[in-house]
Amino acid sequence: MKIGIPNAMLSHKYMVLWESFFKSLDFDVVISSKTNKEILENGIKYSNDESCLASKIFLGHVQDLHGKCDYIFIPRHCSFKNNDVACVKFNALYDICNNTFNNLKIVTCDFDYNRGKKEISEYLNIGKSLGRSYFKTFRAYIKAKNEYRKYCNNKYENQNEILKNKNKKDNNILIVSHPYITHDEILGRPIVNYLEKMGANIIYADIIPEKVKGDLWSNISKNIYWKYSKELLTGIELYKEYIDGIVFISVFSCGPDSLVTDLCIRKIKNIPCLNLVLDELNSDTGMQTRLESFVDVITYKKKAGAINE
Amino acid sequence: MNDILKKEIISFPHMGNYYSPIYSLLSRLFNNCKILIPAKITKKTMELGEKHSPDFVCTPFKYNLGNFIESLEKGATVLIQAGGGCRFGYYAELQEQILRDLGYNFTFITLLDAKKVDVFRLYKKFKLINPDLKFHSFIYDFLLTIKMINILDKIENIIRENIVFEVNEGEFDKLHRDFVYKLQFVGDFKSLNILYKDTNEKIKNIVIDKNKKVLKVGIIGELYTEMEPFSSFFIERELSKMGMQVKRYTTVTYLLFEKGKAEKVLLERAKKYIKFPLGADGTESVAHSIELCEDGFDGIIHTKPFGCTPEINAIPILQKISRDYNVPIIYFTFDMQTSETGVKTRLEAFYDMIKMKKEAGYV
Repeated sequence: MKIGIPNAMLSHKYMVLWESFFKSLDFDVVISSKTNKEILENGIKYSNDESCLASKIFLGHVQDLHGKCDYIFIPRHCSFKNNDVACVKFNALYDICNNTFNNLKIVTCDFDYNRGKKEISEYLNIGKSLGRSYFKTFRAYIKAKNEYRKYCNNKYENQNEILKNKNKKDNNILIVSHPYITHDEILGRPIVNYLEKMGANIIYADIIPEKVKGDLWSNISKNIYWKYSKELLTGIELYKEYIDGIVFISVFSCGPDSLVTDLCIRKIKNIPCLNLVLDELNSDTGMQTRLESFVDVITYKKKAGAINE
Repeated sequence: MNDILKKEIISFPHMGNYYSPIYSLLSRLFNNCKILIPAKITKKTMELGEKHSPDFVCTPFKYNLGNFIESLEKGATVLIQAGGGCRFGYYAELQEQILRDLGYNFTFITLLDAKKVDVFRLYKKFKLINPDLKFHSFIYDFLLTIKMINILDKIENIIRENIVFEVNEGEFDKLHRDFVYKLQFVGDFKSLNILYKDTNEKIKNIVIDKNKKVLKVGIIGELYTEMEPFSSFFIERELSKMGMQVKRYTTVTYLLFEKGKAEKVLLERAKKYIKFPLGADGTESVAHSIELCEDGFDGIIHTKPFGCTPEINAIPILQKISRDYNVPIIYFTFDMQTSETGVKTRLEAFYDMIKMKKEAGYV
């Protein structure tokens, strides 16, 4: 039996976990192709025009998988420990897909801590609904979780390595945006590639170790309750000593970002910030001009600093 | 800031007619301070709010910010923001930062922390402003205000249902205005009951013509655009003028006391279409539209401010419901650029459409 995972939204964060989990349960895993023009167009066609661009792309990926696999995995993310919540978009992805496409077979689970649904029991439910034994599912979950933990820490260590070995002349630019934007082929990739082409050293705020001591995010925002925005703020705090500039990337009409990015820019005083908002009508040239001038600003600022020293 | 001689001036953002019970509550709690009802929302409020807000934040943020700026300009020193689910809980922090960056000096109070009402913490916060505040009177005033809101909602519901039948135009409006004005000065349960009875009596005396043929429509959607008439270009009044009887579920009473209990019932009702809650008021929109369709309403009006994620989540499902039950649903998105004429034109077309549909049904 084939399980399809759309390569969009939170898959960019949890792909290792989910892939390993389903493979250990002896399923074939089909991952939708990387975002391309066709997926984007399909997504726009199928979704409400006011939805955020990331969710439009998600629908495109679901359409891409439709018919290629037996079940599509669309979990619901709602609330987590410490009263953290996910953006309400993640609450409804399952129901949106179910009502938009006909004859779609979906495997789902409900990560809703505040309603008493624990992560592990939800994974066990998936195994149950697919006809796998309790014990096997449990083992698969533990294995997947370990792999995911290793993967996160590895990524973090790699990034630290880059920071240590950096040349002092290089510009270190921190990308602050959700993983499904940063690592998306159409949204974040072109920006990251262009910055790298200009010789900048890219650091990602979404790469943080699995457990971070202390509430680093509270230095920027005291009341924040979106889990994924919280992680980005933690990333900013972790790396802020090493970086010369911050690029915020958000997609148009993203709920949490509309508030959090604005607050960040108001609170971070000594690091230059650039706020890029992407929508489906973006022009590459306009974006490149802004990136170039931003890199110029950082370079001049650094030079001026070096002279002053 | 702790200058005793200086009198604090307290202000809060607008939402519908709820300023009246809130004013009454604050003036009883803080008898050492002056309470400033923010200026009525106008185009200027919108522009002020929009100028200083992030670009694509949802519209209520901009209205609230506009209210705050206008109040601060009039000398307010304490601002109160409620807080709640979805993005609303995060408004306070950013609004405070924006206003501080603008150079205003003030104290900011949020009623709900982390989505929970903590009575003792709230009491402590209020005590900072009014050191003489007693706990028992704090509780008494809160209960009274809840009752006031309850009665305000009841009266407004009656008016909403009957205004379309009135024979002499403007009678209900006048009564409504009078009631809201008098509500501000109610100080105890007894006078509140007298006012309620009195108003009910007056409503009975208004001549209505129940035989008038009207269309029945329901309003669903996001709470702020439903409850703050300015933000939806007074859509309810517009509907009644055209000859439509309006039903609306969302009131503050509903949000405070019934929503929590109702969730399971709503999900059960909507289970044909949705499996999980859609977040914020999305589930309500779906369940209520099913209810309206089954009750034989002629049309449904869905309102939301620009960028409201939970309502956008609900739209694909509402579209399916509309097809299945063959009941038209019209979707309005309100933001700073929405033109009033555009809204009116669409409403008129919608009215004509459901009217023709009904007439064809009779044949």
